[in-house]
Amino acid sequence: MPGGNSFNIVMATGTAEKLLMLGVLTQTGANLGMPVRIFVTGTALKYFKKDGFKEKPVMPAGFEDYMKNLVAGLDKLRTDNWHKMLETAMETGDVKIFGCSLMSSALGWKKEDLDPMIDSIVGATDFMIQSGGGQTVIL
Amino acid sequence: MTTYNIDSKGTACPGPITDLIRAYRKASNGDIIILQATDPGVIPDSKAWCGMTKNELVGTKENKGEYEVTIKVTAKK
Repeated sequence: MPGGNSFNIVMATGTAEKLLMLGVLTQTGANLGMPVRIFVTGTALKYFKKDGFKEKPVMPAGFEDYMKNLVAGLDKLRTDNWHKMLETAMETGDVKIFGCSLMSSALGWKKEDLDPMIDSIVGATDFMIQSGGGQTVIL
Repeated sequence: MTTYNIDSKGTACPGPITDLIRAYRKASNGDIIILQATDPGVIPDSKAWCGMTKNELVGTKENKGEYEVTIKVTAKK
């Protein structure tokens, strides 16, 4: 199977803290020389529509005060936003991002409707074969 | 031998290690990378990175929330 030592991420939830963690984990995987394979599905796909990253991410319900403090703290740090981290990781590492065919079909979105960083729209089978053997995390 | 002084102060994970690796890509065996940061993860992350890549961790310092990691490049191929 390809991707035996890859680091794989199923990005399913489109909330602010998970998008940030997607950027951090992808950048870190690229730093370490690991192939990173990302499958974008669920509510996260919204932010991978063309220019979708420019939208303000949804805050997780029930954590309003916590997230307010977190965002204020992040604004004080020299930290790239999640999309910039993905861009940097793709420039320096072996990173591929795939859109979920089920969600894309349901929403009527085609490849050209998605962020150019999406490599292709694939089904779960293709993603699982590409990422076979590597560790997978779900966000 | 070249010494790379990398100022990552004010960045947060994974910023310091990203900056370290940018310098490492330019470096040659025998070069020194001095990484300064304020992110508390920089010391364990640098130690783990040196262990994985077989570069030499020369030393670490901490002073009032500022961290300094010195690495000798030994594993470039």
